[in-house]
Amino acid sequence: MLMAPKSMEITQSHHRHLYNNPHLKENMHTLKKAVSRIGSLTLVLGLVVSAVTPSNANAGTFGAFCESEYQNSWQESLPWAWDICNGFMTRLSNNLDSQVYYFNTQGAKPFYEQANDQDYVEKASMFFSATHGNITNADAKTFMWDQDQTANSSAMRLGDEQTGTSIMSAYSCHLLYRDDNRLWARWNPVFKGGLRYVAGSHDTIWFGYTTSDVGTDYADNLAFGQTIKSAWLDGISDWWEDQDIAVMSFGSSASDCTNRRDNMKWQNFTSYPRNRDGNVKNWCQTQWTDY
Amino acid sequence: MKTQIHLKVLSPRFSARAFNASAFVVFSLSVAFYSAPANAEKLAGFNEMNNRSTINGFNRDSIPLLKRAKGPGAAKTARELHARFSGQSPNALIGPIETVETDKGVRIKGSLANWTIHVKGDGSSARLEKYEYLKSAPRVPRSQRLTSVELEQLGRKFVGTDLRDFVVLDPSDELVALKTKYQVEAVGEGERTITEEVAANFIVFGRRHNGVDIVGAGSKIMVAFANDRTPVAFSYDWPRYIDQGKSQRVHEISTIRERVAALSTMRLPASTVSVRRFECGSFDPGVRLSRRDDNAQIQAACMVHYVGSKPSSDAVSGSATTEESISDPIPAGIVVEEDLAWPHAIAVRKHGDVCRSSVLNATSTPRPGPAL
Repeated sequence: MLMAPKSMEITQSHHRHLYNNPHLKENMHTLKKAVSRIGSLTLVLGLVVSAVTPSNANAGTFGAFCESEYQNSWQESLPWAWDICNGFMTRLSNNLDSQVYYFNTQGAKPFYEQANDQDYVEKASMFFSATHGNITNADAKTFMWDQDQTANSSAMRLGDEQTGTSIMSAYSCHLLYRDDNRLWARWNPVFKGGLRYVAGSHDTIWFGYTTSDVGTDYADNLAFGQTIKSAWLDGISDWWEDQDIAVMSFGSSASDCTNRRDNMKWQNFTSYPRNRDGNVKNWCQTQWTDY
Repeated sequence: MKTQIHLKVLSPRFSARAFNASAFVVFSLSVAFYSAPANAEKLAGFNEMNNRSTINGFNRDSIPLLKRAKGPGAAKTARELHARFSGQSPNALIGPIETVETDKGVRIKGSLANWTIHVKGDGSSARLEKYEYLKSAPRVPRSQRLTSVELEQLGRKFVGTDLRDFVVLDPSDELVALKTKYQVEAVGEGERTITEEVAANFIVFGRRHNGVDIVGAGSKIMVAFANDRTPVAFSYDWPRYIDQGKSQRVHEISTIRERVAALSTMRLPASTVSVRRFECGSFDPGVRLSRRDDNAQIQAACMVHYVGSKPSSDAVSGSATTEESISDPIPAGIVVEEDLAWPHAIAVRKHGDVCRSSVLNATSTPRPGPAL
């Protein structure tokens, strides 16, 4: 049992408006420009620059492929997908993480899959997406704009290119469904490249006016240092919508796997070595459900 | 038991693109009850709201117009929550803290003990979580999870004691148990599931204000308990409502259905379309939604959750189906009050009750280009 002795001393540190200041980048740019112009003062001004930099020593890279419209209406449109993705990108950018790409899914299937993933998806540590999702026996399928095109998990292998994806966050239905005992079959090819984490859904997630902020909220939680698990749970929950939320990791053992699933953060994911191929042995999934 | 409303679409397939203004969506609602796996067990209060709404809409001619009273401020609420829960056993908030203020609110976190307080907006919405406790708490098989009956009892007690200063119920308020959820942890090797355990038990409450249900994320409370019944997290959006001294006349259910047909974001083209949920009440989207009009009144709406399914064209495994799940808050007032952020309300105020291509598909957020 955890107790709080009344004598426990509590210290506080306040960082007001630092890590979310939209003008910070501009100010930083101005300062850096001044540094370059006044060579002799570089050291002094450099100290000033570091003094106003938000505490994000582990600034990461992120990118997104999202979709709202589908060619010839082969899937129904998903209004608010752009709001979700734009919110995610903006919020992490404000955290001084670096946006590497942000595209719709037109012609994007090869950029998800092993064939050409090095061109986009693998160029950032965090890959965010919002589009339709589905499963078959062999695949978790992410829907493209292009008619009849899906990116299939059996053709994906993430984490083995230069930067390599570490965390995949998919605001899509069904991708982490496991009740049919096919979770391993669908996802082991993806994780065998060294992917560290997937946040998604085990059944249904909802698009609409009231869920248009889920990308922002998730990114906000990540930036604040929550575990990916709790960041995703809270980020896409408002406790009114019936969001079927799930997260998953793979590990070299059951304990390695659960440790990753329960403790990994946007700030510490690189401290978990990539597991590849034969080291990908156990899967760990959490879902919020009612059976 | 889950309530499912089947939409019988009488018009041929049409989409937002192909929508012809002369073609009006005619559909009928019939209610069917069936047993099906549900991922959130709906409790009696929820089912009552859903059934009443589906059959009779509001079951009254008018509802009072409300406004959210300005909250106490995020920083103040955060300090008070920390003070309230820092000395409480068995799951107290201990250790040094770090406080961060952003445009989304105030956060306090225990820098060593992995707990978080996040107060949103004007301080009327907050979340506290210490899921770290679950690492040492007992895990149980599904059969030993907390029942919905016990969860409701635990939740009501927690709200009435630990949250009494933050979630204030006045005589016009009724706390309504809506649904339960469970955090299930599974570990597997290959196709085999080695362990599957319940780690936490969640209950969600809503609010009935002067006899009218509040629909949307506003006026909701979630409390999560470990299996040893220790609370490990809660979240609430709970404003004080100011009665505006006037009422809003609401449509009958048949007219509400027509408005649903005209305004639904999903254009009902899928092979099968069903309505998972249908709840009428005062619509409060909650302070968490950034795209909201803080000056708007809380007015009548019916929340509609549609799921459309269609077979996948996947050649390898043609049995797959795609589900498209949309939730829409449809204004239900005969006169819709101004709300500068709620697109459905804007649409009715701007265009009236006419049949039209969904104006909701176009949002102001730009679509990025393709990757080439």
